[in-house]
Amino acid sequence: MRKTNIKAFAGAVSLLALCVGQAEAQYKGPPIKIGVMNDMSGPYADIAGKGSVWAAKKAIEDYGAAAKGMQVEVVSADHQNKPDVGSALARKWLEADGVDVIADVNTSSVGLAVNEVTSSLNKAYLNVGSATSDLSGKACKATTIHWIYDTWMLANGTGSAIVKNGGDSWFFVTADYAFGLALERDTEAVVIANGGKTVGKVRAPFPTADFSSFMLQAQASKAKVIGLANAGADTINSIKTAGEFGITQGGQQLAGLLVFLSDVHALGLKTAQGLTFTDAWYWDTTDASRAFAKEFAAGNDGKYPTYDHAGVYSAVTHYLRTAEALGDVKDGKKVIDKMKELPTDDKLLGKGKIRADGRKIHDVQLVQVKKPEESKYPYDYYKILATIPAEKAFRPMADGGCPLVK
Amino acid sequence: MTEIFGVPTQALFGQLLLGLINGSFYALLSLGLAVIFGMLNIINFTHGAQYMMGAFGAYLVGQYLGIGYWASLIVAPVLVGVTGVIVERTMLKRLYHLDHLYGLLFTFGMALIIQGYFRYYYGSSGLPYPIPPELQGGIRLPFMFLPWYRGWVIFLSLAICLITWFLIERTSLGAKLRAATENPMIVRTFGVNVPMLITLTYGAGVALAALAGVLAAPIYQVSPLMGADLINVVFAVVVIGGMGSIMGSVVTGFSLGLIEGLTKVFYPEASTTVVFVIMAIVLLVRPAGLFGKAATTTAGVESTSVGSGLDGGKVLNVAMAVMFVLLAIAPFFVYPQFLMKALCIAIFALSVNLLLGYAGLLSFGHAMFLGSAGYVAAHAAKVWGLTPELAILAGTATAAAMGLVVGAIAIRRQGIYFAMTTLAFAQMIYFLALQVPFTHGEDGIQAVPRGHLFGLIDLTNQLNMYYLVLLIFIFALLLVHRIIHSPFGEVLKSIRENEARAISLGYKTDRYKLMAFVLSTTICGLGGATKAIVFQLASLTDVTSGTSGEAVLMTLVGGLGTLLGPIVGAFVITGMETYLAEWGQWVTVIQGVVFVICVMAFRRGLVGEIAFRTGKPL
Amino acid sequence: MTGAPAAASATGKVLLSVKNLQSWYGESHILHGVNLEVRQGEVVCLLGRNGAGKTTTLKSIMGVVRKREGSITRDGTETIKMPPERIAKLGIAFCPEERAIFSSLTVRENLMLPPKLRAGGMTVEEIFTLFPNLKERIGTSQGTKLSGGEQQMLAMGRILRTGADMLLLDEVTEGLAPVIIQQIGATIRKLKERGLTILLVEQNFRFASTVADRFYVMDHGVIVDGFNAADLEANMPKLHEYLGV
Repeated sequence: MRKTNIKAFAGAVSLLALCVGQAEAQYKGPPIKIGVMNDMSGPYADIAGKGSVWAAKKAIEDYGAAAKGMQVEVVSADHQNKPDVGSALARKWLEADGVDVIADVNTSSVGLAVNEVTSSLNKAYLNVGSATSDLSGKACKATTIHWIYDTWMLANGTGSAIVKNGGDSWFFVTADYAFGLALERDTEAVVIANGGKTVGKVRAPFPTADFSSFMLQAQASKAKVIGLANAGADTINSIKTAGEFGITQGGQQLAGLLVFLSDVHALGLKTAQGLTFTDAWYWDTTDASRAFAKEFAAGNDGKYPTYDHAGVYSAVTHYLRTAEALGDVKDGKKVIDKMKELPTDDKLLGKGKIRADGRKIHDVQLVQVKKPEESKYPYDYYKILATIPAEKAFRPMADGGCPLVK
Repeated sequence: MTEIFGVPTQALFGQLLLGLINGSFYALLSLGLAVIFGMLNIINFTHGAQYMMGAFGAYLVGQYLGIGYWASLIVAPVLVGVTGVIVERTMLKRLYHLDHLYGLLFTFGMALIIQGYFRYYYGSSGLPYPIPPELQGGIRLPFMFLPWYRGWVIFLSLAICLITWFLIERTSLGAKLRAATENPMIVRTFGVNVPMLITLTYGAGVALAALAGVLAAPIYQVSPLMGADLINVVFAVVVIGGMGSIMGSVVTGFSLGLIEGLTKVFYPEASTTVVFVIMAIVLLVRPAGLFGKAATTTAGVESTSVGSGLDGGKVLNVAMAVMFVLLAIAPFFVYPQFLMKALCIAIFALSVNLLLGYAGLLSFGHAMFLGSAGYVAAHAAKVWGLTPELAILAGTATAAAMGLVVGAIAIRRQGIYFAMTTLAFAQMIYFLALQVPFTHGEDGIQAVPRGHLFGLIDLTNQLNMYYLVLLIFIFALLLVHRIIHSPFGEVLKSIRENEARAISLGYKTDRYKLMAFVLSTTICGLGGATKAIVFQLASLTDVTSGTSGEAVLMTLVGGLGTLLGPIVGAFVITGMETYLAEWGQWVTVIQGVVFVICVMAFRRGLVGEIAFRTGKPL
Repeated sequence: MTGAPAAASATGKVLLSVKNLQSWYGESHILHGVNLEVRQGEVVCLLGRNGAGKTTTLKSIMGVVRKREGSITRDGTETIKMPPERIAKLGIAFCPEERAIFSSLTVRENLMLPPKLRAGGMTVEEIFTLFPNLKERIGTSQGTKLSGGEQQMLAMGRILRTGADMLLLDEVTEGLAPVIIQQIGATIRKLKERGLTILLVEQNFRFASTVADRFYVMDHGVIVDGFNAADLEANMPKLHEYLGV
């Protein structure tokens, strides 16, 4: 009899403890709605697209939101790379559909437009996909955090590496919109700071299907380096065209200023080998990231995640942590302030922090695309040449011109 | 390294080669258009989509049937040509007895359906298609590097053009085609099955487009939008060369490609607009085009102007009053942002309808006025710091001035030619908007302040903004109403119904048409400028040809020649876009289907049908 | 309305029989019930003033007028619903009033345009024999560069290639010089000798009297009278009334 009494007593105590423990960890706030907006059908669809939605949902699952009593819903939409579509959608989401936070939003022109909307409506904005460094610079807002990468980081990592290697005359082929122009501007600054010079520039409409005319101009310039200030399908087409016209055989080096894993996959190692660039996160670095990649591939037709996807995962994870701490996410500025206050930590990007100007920083790598014979398994594409520590990888806060940091 | 005019020969010849390649596509596509136009008197707006289907055909038969490039050159055009034949037999031929503009609208709707469908399944990014192994690599000439495939493109295009020319000009089949173009009835009395000939000609023209698509696949990537990007330049080529002339299209196509290439070398910023500038010049000097035949007069577009114009109509007044009341209370029930968008677009549709339904002029380029007014208003509010009413006025005035210039040149042409001219001008404006610094290209003018109306009323308050937009809308509507129900409006109607007779009565019809055009563009600009302030954004979307097409669609759906029709059309279409946004490209497909249905069976439109049945003007 | 009197001269079978033919151009009701017959080997002439419906009758027989009701039989085959290309294959050919020489075709192309539909068509040599002027001008680059008379000959010549045995000729002498008119008259007589059947529309009844076997008179979309060529003089006063001359 005593044994059962003790058992029962122990059971009751643990049950009580459990209840108390649960009660303490229970989230009491209203349901949370996350809006993931990006290019789902255009030149950047493989970089972010539906994969970002998967990554957001995975973050919610891994965080254990349900167990904590948090109801989190993810909605998504395609902004078609058009600022008017993106901003109208953002407004409708935030004003009429009860969305609390907007995440991802690649394509800088749209990213900037949504930035205005979220700021005017005081809702949190976690931009992962846009590259323009202006988001933590002159366009910074109290409601915005810029995650994973930006044009300054790319320019600094890739640009200085190439110039130091002897590529001191540059010709830019630039996507003619916010992102391309920002990337060109930031890279040119790095080139000049390292003693190089710009020989010429040409602006290509976004997107462009046939780069032959621009590559010919690049060829004619005799620059040692042809800087591709574009992304996604544009970069792929530029590189292919260069090959078709025998430009690289002629001794000029192609510099991919923004290259994603999906681009390398589309090009194939035969064409892409040797390309050197800055990468914000590569799947084949830690066990946790490898596991994530395998799960991602299973849920995304065999494609491996790019760093945009990793960024969304990381951003949503930190957001949930903040939501739990605050208890209510309706006030965008409060949420962002708390996110800046709490240090970040997730299985993909590791430990890091968010600066006052909204810039999330972490360590990045300088990588080189492997030769075909060096690749041993699917998506085994990169050799890591160097790691650039967080403090050095991103633009110093004082230089950005962000009004929040005065 | 040698230089010519300060440009290295490598660059010069390289660009000329690329120009020749572009020219090959221009020539092939305008050839197909000219053949179809010559025989059917239809502007085949579906041409770009059929070009794209050819490329996709090659891609898909390659992926799923393992059919390689060489066989695709035959297979894809045949397959796409057959779809053309089916469309012609079942639908297109029912439109021949109507005004040519319906054929244009039908093919435009088909293009929307096809493009939307492919975009839905394949996204808008390009699918890779490899250069066939036999044509990979190239040859290093002294002055440039020539990739084999690109040389092949030029060679095959030239060959096809020459063969087609020969077939038409030197064979007895060609003689039958040419005769049937002139007088189809008499040719039928000789025992020639002209309807079959027409069907096959359409099929052949479509197949030509598809062939160009297969040729393009390895160079331009296979993408659902590849046709849309190209077709507007091709239309300009056709306008320059002369719409019915085979030789004209081919010569003009190649020449313009070369000129484009040269421009890229010496003045790259102008390379996208040079074709349109040339078009404007040619139109001033030789309205029929360089090689063209004289413009054919067209019958009137079916319009439901019921009842005498001058009596206003009680039913109409009641309907308008009810509408105003509903709109006044609407923001408390319906998302105001959507309402404001619909109202601005309704103003846009009203302006297009004024021109089309009452003056009988189809403008396919009104987006240029909508967008330009928006850009100017945005710039005025943001950079010059003007108060919103002044900014809107600035935008409206811009549209009026542009309307005067474009109208003066475009009015010289009739019917379809007029529509094509407006389209080509709109494309020129699009490319200008892309490059001119103040528009910020792809980014658009963002963060436009709503400001304070007259310096007093804060427009960031949604309700304030809404009521201002409503007032502007009511003003525009009443203005259009006044124009229609006035002696000026009566003259316009008479010009639309029988211009020759109006001229014989002593009216200077060109002046009336120009006035109508400018009034239309001004009202359009009012809508565009207001929209920019409401959405605090002016972007490229507003100057694309798709936007112009949408306005025509709204007018058609609502009812040509009715006052309230365009408003209904605007709300329906804008509503679809806003509330069905999650359906993505299916919205485009639905729009295309609506277009086609309206043209085939429902030409009076929603309001038009009601007006017809009740016999009251609406 | 009124029936056609049987022609004493023609003993052949009825090649073309038109009964109660009604025709519309759009909303305009032009023919109100035309009845006529043409027998094999005959040359029949339709007389009437402007607007009586003569050309519309020919066009209806040829199928060019789309909206028609009644009955038109060619050698027993009902053609009222047929499109022009099928009627042509039955052996009827049409020479329109406006001649319809194609400006975008050469003279040779114009001549060779109609395809051979049945046996018995003339060869190019035979056509040249009939129209020597055509032979001279065959190399001209554009059909419309020919004179009015030459264009008329071309219009008549080309339809002879098809093998049609029945010709519908609409105002073939209009606007031509007298000497050309005579040539055309001679040509029609030669064609009749070859066995062709001809239904022609003419305003110039003097000319018509030199070729026709029979006459019908049309007024306001119906046949109002008919008589043999032999009775032409006797009917002259009536004719003057009909034609308003």
